[in-house]
Formats: sequence, C-alpha cells, structure tokens
Amino acid sequence: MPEQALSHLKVLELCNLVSGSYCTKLLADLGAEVIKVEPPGIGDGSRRRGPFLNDIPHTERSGLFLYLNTNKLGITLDVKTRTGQSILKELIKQTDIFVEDNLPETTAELGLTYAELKKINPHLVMTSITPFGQIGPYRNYKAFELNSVHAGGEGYMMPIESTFPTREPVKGGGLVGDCMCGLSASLATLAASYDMKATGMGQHVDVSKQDVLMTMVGLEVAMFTYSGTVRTRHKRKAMLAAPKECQDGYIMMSAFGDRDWQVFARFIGKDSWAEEERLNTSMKRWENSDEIDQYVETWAKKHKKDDLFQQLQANALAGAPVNTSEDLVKSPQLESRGFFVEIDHPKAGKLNYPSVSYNLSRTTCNTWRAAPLLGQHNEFVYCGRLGYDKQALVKMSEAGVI
Amino acid sequence: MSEQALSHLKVIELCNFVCGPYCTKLLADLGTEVIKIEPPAMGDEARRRGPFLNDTPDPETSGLFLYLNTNKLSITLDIKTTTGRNILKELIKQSDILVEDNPPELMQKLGLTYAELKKINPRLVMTSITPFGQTGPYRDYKASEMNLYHAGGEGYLLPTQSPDLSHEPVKSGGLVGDCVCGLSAAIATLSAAYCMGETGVGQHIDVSRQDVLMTMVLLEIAMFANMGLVRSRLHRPLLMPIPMECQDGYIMISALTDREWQDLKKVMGNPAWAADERFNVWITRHTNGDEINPHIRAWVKPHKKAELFRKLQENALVASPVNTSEDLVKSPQMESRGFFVDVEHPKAGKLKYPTVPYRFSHTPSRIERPAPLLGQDNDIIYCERLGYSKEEITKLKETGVI
Repeated sequence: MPEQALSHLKVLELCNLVSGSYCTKLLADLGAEVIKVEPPGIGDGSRRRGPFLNDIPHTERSGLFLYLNTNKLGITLDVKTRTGQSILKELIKQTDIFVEDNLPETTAELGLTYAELKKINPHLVMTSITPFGQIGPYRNYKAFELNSVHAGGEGYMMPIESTFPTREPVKGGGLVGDCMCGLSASLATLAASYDMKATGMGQHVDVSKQDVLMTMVGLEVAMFTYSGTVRTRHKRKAMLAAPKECQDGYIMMSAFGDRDWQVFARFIGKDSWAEEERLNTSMKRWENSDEIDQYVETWAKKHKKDDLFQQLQANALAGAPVNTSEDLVKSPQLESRGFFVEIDHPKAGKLNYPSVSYNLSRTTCNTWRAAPLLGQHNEFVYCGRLGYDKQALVKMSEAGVI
Repeated sequence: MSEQALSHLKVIELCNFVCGPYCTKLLADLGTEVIKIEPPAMGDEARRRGPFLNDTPDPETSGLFLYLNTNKLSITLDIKTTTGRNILKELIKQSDILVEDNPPELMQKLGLTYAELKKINPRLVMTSITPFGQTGPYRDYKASEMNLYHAGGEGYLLPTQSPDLSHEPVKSGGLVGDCVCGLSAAIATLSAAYCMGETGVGQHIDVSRQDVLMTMVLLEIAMFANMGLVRSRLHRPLLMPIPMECQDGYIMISALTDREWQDLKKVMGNPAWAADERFNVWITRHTNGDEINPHIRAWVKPHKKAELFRKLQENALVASPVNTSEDLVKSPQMESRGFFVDVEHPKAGKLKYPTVPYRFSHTPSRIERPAPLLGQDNDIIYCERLGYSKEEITKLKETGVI
C-alpha cells in the first residue's frame, strides 16, 4: 500500500512562475515524484520575485518559490541546447507525466511536441498550460496572471456591488488566477493518468488559462449567451450584499430564507422585524433592503468581528469575518486542522508553510520536503536515474548544459 | 480504450448549490457516471436561483443549475427517512465515489459517516466538502460563498491598488470562491480514486472550503506566518498595476522586462517622455510608475481594446483586453477552440454552454446530456440498478421518500 495517494506517479516539470509550478505542487503534495527542470544559473523566474525572507532578495529565499515548489526535486538543464533536449528526452522516457508551459511555437522549435514525445513514450501524459491554449488565432499570445484574469472576463465584474461602479476593473488579490489554472491543469492531468492506467495509453492535455477563468465565471458568460445581456457590477438592490464594518474590521453576514431572517432580526435586536408582515418574504425584504442594511451598518459598528462571528454561528446563521492574514495565522480552527506546517530549508531556515486544503484519511501528506535549491538534485537524477558518471556531470556543468 | 478519461468511475452526489455540484460536474464532464440525489419535490437549491431563461423563474430553467449539472443523472430521495437511508446505502454499495456537503453533525445523526459507509463498501472514496472542514472548533459552522470568501482572507485585499482605501472589502464576481473549492475537491477525489485503483482500498477526504481559499492567497498569509507582516491593499508605486481605459473598455498591459519596455516604447512611437534613463531599469521603472502611468494612459485612451490587444501581441508584448461576457462569447479564439457548445434541454431548449478548460487528445470531454430534470432517472436507477418494482416505486413516491 502506497504511503500517499500518488506515490507511484513520476512527473517531470518544465514550467516557470506560478500556474505550472502550482499544478505539479498539488501532485507532489499528494505524493507524486516531481522533478523540476530549471534553466542553469538563473532558475525559475519566481526565485526572483518577492516576498523575500526579511525583505532581503535571494534566489533561494523567495516566498513565492518556496511555497510553489515543496516536495519537488530540482535539476538544472538548458533545453535550448541539443544535448539538453536529448537529456530531457531520456528523462521523459522514465516519466508518467510531463507538465510544461511554453508557447506552442517554442515547444515546436525545441522538438518537444507531443507528437514527438509519444514516439519515445506512448504512456506519457503531457500537459501543456498556456495563456490561450494550443489552437486558435491567439495560441502564441503571451499573458501573465494580471492579463489572464481580465482575458477570462473575471476582472470586468470587479469591484462588484461597488459604491464606485464607474471605477476601472480590478482583479482578485494574490495570484488566484494562476492558482486556478494550476488546479484545473492538475485535475485534467490526473484524469488522463487514471485513463492511462486503465488503457496503457497516454495523451496530450491542452489547458487554456483563459478557458479556466471562464469556466469559473461560467454563470455570467452563460447568461449572456441566453439573453444577450452583459451583466455589470453596478450596485443592485440586495440585502446584506457587502461586508459590514465593525469596531475592528469587517463581517460578512447572510440571512437567506425566512427562518434565518427571523433569527437574524432578533439577533440584531429588531424583534419586531421578525414578526412584521411587510418583511415576511425574501421578496419584501429585498424591496426594503436599504432600510435593513442602514440599520445593520450602524448596529455592526458597535461590535467586534469575531464576537459577531461566534454569535451568528451559535444562532445557526451563516457568517464569517473578513479575515486578514494575521487573523488566519492565529485562527484556532486552522491550528486545530494543522493547516500550517513547519518546513526546514538550508537557506531559508525553518518557516511555516500553508499545507493542503484537503486531508485524505488514509494517505495524507505528512512528510514535507522544502523547495529544492537550484540544481540540488542534479547528481541524484543524472547519475542515479540516467547513469551519467560524475565526470560527465562536471563537463555538462562547465558547458552550461546543466 | 475508454471513450472518456473517467468512463469507468461511478459517483453519487449528495450536494446542494454550487461547490459540490461543481466538483462532480468536473468529474461528469470527464466521463464519470454521476447520480445526483435531490430532495423530493424541492430539488437542489440552485434550481431556485437565477439567472432564469427569459427571466421567468422555473426550477428546470435556472442557468446556474443547468450549467452545474451537465452530464449527470438525477434521482429524488429523502435521506431523512429510514427507507431513504437504506436505499442510499444500496446505491453506495454500487459506487466508487460519494461526494457530500452536509454538516458533520447531520451526517452523524443520519448514520452516514465514513466509518459506517466503509463497512458496506471498503473501496468507497468519500469526499466531504464543508465550510470549515470535519475537525476543529468551527466544524459545524455555516457559511455561504460570500462569507467564506472573506473567511479565506481573500476579500481583505480587495479592491487591491484601490484609489479609495476606505472602501469596504469586496469579493470577486460570480461564484469563483465556490468553484475553486469544487475544483480542489475534485483533485483530491481523483487522487484517492487513483490510489483506490492500485490498492483496492478507499478513504475519506475532508475538504475545508476556508483552507482552499487560503491556499490561493498563499503569499500574504505566509508572510504573516513568518514575518508578522499583514499585507494591505494600499496603493504601491508600480508600472501599470491596473487596467487602462480605452475607447470601448479596458486593457491590461504588462511590460516587466527591459526588452518588453523597449518594445512598448517602440509601439508607442518612442515618445520624448519615455526616453528618461530612469525608466530603462526595471526597479526604477516601477518606483516611478506613478510618473509613467499617466503618459501610457493617455496613449491607450484613443485605441479600441481589441485592436490594441492584437497590436501589442504582434510585438511580443503581454496584454489582454478586460473582456465582458459579450466579448468572450464572440471571441474568435473561443470559437476556434469550440469552447461553447449547443445543448438541447427538454424545458430550457437549445442553449450555448461553456465546456471544460482542457482538451484531451484521446479522450475528449463531452457534454452528452443537459442537467437532469428533477427525478428524471428515478426509474432507471431504482428499477434497473436496485431492482425495485414499479409498484414499489409508486409507494415510495406516495410516501414522499423519492
């Protein structure tokens, strides 16, 4: 019995920055062996992005890189050289999954198309993650997370319910857009691996980042196709649509349905509202939402967000505080779930890392390996896996191939 | 060879609204058989949420329900009755995966815990998706997408780079928060199914929606955990951090590298202001972002967003228009990828549906059937699968069990 769900899968990663690295991180955190291939000397672009530990830039201490590359092995290889390409192919022969994020024209130039690779490994699942997919007029167009989010139609809706509906579109914080692309790619890769096990045949998985973001806002997109209306972010009449300010932050409260409304009205000290006929259906409450929201706004300011959260939940009402990162790190819920894990790293030292959002009862991830140093596993992979001797390794390193 | 990647898997869905149904939709669109269990008469909550076809509320024409339940079978069953639970257990004996989203205390009360279910089907992969997970002080707390989005810490950063910092936190448009949770649950489920295929033993997966959202905002949270910093959405001086207004909408342009900055200058016609030497270097280009941005904004303004998008991409610059749903539905890229497909539904008629964000070279994902009518497949499942007679079905209907 394997120790982790995906312990038997071998993955080769040729990706940069967030989406692809997050895709293989998810597989690595579930037990797959992931070999990350980085360009010699410079490594992955995320090594040069912050936040850096103690704000001191260092390629081995970027928070972004450290987070996205847990549980992976790292080797260096220049795939732009002929030697590099043939070594990569040797590795591909020994792998189940190849995840890459190069533009289709680059992949073709490097001779690393699926058509080529399946000749040397018919079992191979190859996953390509690109801004606009492998086909279509935009297939070689470039985009970063900032661009992709807006290409997917997500940014247009933001800030939704805004008091300034005229302000320019914004996007979600962090790198959520890229993470979603990584997640989708990971799901598709797993499905293809499952099929490979059943049939013995690999295949090519073409992930378009724009498509990923569109399936997430599916509703607005589908709505347009139905009726020809473009949904806007203008403020619409709605009860409790936005977070309410408290003494020490914000709380997002909900009271859907008649039961919740009655409990909520009493909770906010408006017992009469619970009985009043003019508010006894969701339609009528919607009509009077300005009055309700105005009262709730004044009322909420007298309370602390966590007190309100606990009291709402004690009344079986849905609600959550608008958490800052500090709130989350100190949350008793997350502590109880063991969400943060401490991982030691030779350069960055012991740090707390967010772990995974799912616990598997039998095969959960309990051993964490820090992100690899640049080329840390060159010897292990080149000598151990491919049979090169140490002298060859020195030569390749001198020639800049690894 | 199986026709679709996951054709051999059988899934039971006991979920409501967005998150769980999106998880099983992803599996269904990859070929699994998904039997959706809905409460008799009422059905899934999503049936009562808009947008409705032609704005006429009807539980069979909710855009949300139609989108989230493609490729599934629907049966009705009241699991709060003893008969209902026995029937559910018979179905569970025949399936590989159970996805459910009930509060842990309810599952306990109904005798449907993993500990019970694995006795009748040791191969079962059971995935539980709840707001705060199966453990910890908040395990039975309630929260909807709006609440959880803020619980996950994401909303606090929004609107990021805001000109109005006193604005209350907002969340992303659509139901992105729930979709991301469904996606994460699908990955965990598939990895456990893969492992079950190898070992013959199932397991329980505990997905916390708060944790999912936290793994997405990653950096901000890790920064506090390790350096005590709470990142805010304050305005920082950056080059083009937000979309810029065009004649007919917005465009998001990026020019991160020095090469890209030079190319952007060229596309702008090498204006005099851009010759400033400080702008040649990445770091001072950003720290002087506030000085540069108005110039670029003025240049962007008279352009049309689609034209500018193509022009920039042709010059190997990174950019994307801020797309509305109309732009996406009419996009030549989407058309070329066949992202939208027409699906015929007995009540909603023929509609365009968004498909999946990945293309498989051998085992294409397909929408073979629209969302099921409430209880549409009762006869097939109860009579053919479980061997009930027509008379027994009538009785179950009369007593409200199905």
